[in-house]
Amino acid sequence: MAVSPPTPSIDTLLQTLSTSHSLHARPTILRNLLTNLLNSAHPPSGQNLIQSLKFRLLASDITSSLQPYANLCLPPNLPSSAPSSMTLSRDGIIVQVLDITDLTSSLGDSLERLEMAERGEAMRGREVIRIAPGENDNEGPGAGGEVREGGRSMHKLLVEDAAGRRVWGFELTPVTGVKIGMNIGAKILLQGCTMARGVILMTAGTATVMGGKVEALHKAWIDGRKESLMSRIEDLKRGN
Amino acid sequence: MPGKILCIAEKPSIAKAVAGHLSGGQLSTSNTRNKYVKNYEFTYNFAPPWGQCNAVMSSVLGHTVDWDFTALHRKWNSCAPGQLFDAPTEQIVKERKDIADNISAQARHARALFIWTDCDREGEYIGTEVRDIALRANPNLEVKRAKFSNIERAHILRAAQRPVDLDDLQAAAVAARIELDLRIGAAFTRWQTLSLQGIGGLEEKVISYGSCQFPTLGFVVDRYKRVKNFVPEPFWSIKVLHKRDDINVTFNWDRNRLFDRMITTILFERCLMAKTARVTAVVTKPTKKWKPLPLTTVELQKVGSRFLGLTSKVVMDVAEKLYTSGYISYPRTETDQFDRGMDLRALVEKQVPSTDWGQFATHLLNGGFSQPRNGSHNDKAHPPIHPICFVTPTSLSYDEKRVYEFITRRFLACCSEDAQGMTTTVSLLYGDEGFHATGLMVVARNYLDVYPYDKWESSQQLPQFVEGETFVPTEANITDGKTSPPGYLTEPELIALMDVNGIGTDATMAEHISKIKERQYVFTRRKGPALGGRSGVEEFVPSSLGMALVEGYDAIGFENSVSKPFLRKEMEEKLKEICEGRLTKRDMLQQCLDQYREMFVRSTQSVDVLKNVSFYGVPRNAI
Repeated sequence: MAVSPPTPSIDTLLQTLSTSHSLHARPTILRNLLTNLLNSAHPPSGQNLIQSLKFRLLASDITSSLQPYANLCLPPNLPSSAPSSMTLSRDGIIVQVLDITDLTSSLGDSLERLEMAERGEAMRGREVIRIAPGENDNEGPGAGGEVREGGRSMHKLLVEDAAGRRVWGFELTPVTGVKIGMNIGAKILLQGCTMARGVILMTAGTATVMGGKVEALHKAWIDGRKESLMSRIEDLKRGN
Repeated sequence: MPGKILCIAEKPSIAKAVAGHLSGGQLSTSNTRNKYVKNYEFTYNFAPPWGQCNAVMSSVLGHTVDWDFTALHRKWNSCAPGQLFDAPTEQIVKERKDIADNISAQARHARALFIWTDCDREGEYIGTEVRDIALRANPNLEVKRAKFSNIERAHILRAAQRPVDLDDLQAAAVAARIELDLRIGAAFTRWQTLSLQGIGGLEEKVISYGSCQFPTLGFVVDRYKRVKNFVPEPFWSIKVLHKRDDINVTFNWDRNRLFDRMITTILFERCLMAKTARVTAVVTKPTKKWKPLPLTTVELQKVGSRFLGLTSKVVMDVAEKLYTSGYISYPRTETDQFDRGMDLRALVEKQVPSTDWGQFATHLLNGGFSQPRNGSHNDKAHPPIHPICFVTPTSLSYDEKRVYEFITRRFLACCSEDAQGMTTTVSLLYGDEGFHATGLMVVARNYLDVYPYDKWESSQQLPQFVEGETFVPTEANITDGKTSPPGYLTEPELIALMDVNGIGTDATMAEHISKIKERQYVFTRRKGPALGGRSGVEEFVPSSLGMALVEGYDAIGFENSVSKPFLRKEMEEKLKEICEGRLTKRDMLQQCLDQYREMFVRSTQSVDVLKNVSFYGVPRNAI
């Protein structure tokens, strides 16, 4: 029978996860995760152990699993008249995604896309095309102009750091992995982002989607999305 | 001389024209028991093995044979509607006995039957009707078919020399469609009429169902609801203005617009913080506006509705008249590419006498000619719609003149050069944000000179900008706007939706639209003046009844609702497969009947849903 290498100490694991993966786990949490893994049917070792721990951290709620040290979190006390521009540290700050909105799509269009998918019309062969191509001499004044750069969507995110602080961020330039349908609770590593008026400006160079998810939050978001869109549309109707 | 050749066309006008060409004018005419149908007798030198023969040319009046349920199931209260999916049917000659008798009588003394029905699916099927009647009278008949796309003399003579066989696959597809429409139509019509008859306002009305009509109605209802439920949403944008050389240049935001004021403000502030903008590129390059594609039936209907203010039905009726008069080619075609071997210059030359576009035609012949673009469709049966010969406008009615004009201008445009221009695009980086300004100069109008239905104008010219230069923009603003609702469906839009969702074929779309108007499932009203100040386009609004039916069935069937296009689209695809030999008629019937039978059963189980919607929705007036 092969002898597996000895399990590294908690400190070593904490160190590795911090330096190599920017995940500064809380020791008690890490200990629990480690115990669970080692008691499983096929306990991982070596690199697999690190990967498994990383995977579980990415699937956790960081407000309980990561250290809320000041240098690992967003600046405190962002007043509404926050500076027009400041830069976050290049050390990584991990945040998790709580909400995502497509800024280039109206609520009505987003709702329609959702309903079409519900009706199975997003499947091949079952699409109902409702605006025929080329028939747009009916477009109102609001529809003029085209989006350049391939017409990619631009998204706004609500993110939360390990201390539970929530701020808005958006894609100044496209960030891989940011799209409607991404997991809620996915982790993003911010390095040296600019913040303007308390909002994070994300670019491909300063924000990296690490993956992961918080199952409960994700399910709640999916279940509640339609109603959320509809109530926001209702608000508009009422003139709010 | 060996035995007689019997030629049968689909309509009297075609019979007369073909007989005229084949006989060289030497023919004798006799009456039949039908006042519209004549028999023309002449001799003609057919291709071997027939050779020089006596010929008799006559016609039918469209379909001769009707399909119906057998006597047992024909009456409305004879059985439960659901049984109609499997009830026995029969083919009988109802009103056209005199025509059928004429064919039988002539066939008895003939050696061969030469079918001259229109070369499309329906025509193929009618050809088999004729064949079956003839063979019953004379089982030894040889049966052939002529392939032709217009009734110009040389074309007809060529077709007469090259007979082909009837395409039984196409005929089978039509037979399948007829049977499905009969069963499904009758079952649903009877059931829904009987179910809803108790409701006030409907009383004795027959509420008919057609598997193409309902999805067509579905589009109208769908758009209506979108318009009614539309909520305008605010959006924001950034505009940069710069004045140079006395010209005001507007730079548009690369992002176009965002639905978030906070983010737009942040981005705008960053622009202002940057103070100067930098020109990142100045690109001048040639551009063109493509000349149009060769004309298909769907395009003709769309453009006819849009620019001529005629409903698609009127457009098709007029086109049919122009065809039987020999002025244009067969107007039911999906083909948007001209065969390379066709002599298009000869057709252009025919238009030189025109006072409206004769000069342009001459210009084409003097070097302006350019081979038409190829679309991606070819139904292998007919070429794109085009003019066969020149017609003096005075010999046409007002509508005929305008449809002919459109078809001809379109054809000449196809044979022209694309319009050419130069665009200059200046790209700007201001803060983090990109902006652009474009100028267009139209250098050569080319096809636009004969085709007023497309517009392309030079814009204001841009002043000089140099790549790399920086400047402080004269003005930068946040602008806002609101989204606006789509309009109600217009006829060209409805045709486009039917086309793109696979409902109906080019031959039937106009009919389905007519039907839903006839049955008062929708109302139409004029939208506004069309281009050129001619009468405006019609837009469709569902009636309460139409609305109630769609909502009811949607509640019953959800994504498979009979008012959604899928079921019919799948049926159309299966009809195509029959034509291609990939599916037998029997399998197709079974599959489709199963699908619709399931929807029928579901509907009967949820009849209350349908009733409730109708009850609450049915004041009988337009909305």
